[in-house]
Amino acid sequence: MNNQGIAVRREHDTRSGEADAQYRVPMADVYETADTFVLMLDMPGVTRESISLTLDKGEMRVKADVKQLHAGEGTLLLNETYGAGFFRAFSIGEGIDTSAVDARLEHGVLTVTLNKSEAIKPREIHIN
Amino acid sequence: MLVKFERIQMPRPAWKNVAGFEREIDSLFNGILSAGTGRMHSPAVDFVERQDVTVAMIEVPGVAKDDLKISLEEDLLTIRGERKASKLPEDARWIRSERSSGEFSRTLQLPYPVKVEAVTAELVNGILSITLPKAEEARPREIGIK
Repeated sequence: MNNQGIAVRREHDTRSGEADAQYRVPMADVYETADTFVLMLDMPGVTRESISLTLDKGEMRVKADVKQLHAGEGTLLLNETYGAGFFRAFSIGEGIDTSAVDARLEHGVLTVTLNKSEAIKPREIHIN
Repeated sequence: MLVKFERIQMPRPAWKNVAGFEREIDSLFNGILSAGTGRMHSPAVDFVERQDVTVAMIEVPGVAKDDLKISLEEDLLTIRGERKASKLPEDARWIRSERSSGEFSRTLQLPYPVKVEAVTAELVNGILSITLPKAEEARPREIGIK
């Protein structure tokens, strides 16, 4: 795993006790620019208040509880959604400036922008 | 005296889960063709029948209201839409791409006739909810006995 990149783990973390078959893994797009890493996660039905986003010891965790769409009375004719919410963990390398993380939620998509610290930004080396 | 009461029978499909069947066919194609064809994976749907309404809830994260079209024809409800692909900055390099984009479409067979003019839809947090009030003749009624 590249220490300066982002490793994406799909499996649930059984050590933390968050291994819950009821949590869905949100689909993610991840890309890198010279200054940032950007992650976009599909989490339909999630509200800002229900999201927990943490950065700790090189790991970024995203968790959000969602009320079941079909909650309440009624007969389920079709049920393709499932689970109590979303959960996913990402291994982040050393080079992230954890004090400057930007996260925004729109239309059920969470976009997290991580800024690279100076040390890992690409630099041109001048030859004397 | 016997009271004759006629109930309007809606023909029921051989399998109730018409939408589920369609989804199976979708998933066969999506796996093979979706990469780079401009077709989004078929959105997940929950369909609930309540006392006086039927409610369809479709997961459409990242889709704008203007890119959704809902149509009702007889007893078929069709939701069509498009999720635009993310616009990346010039110097961006992909690390992971799991989210699909492009056009999608789902058709649901309604179990009851609906009051078309009273159908409402709203898009909240990436979920499109369509509430379909049952037509008068489809609601359960008590029959008085003389």
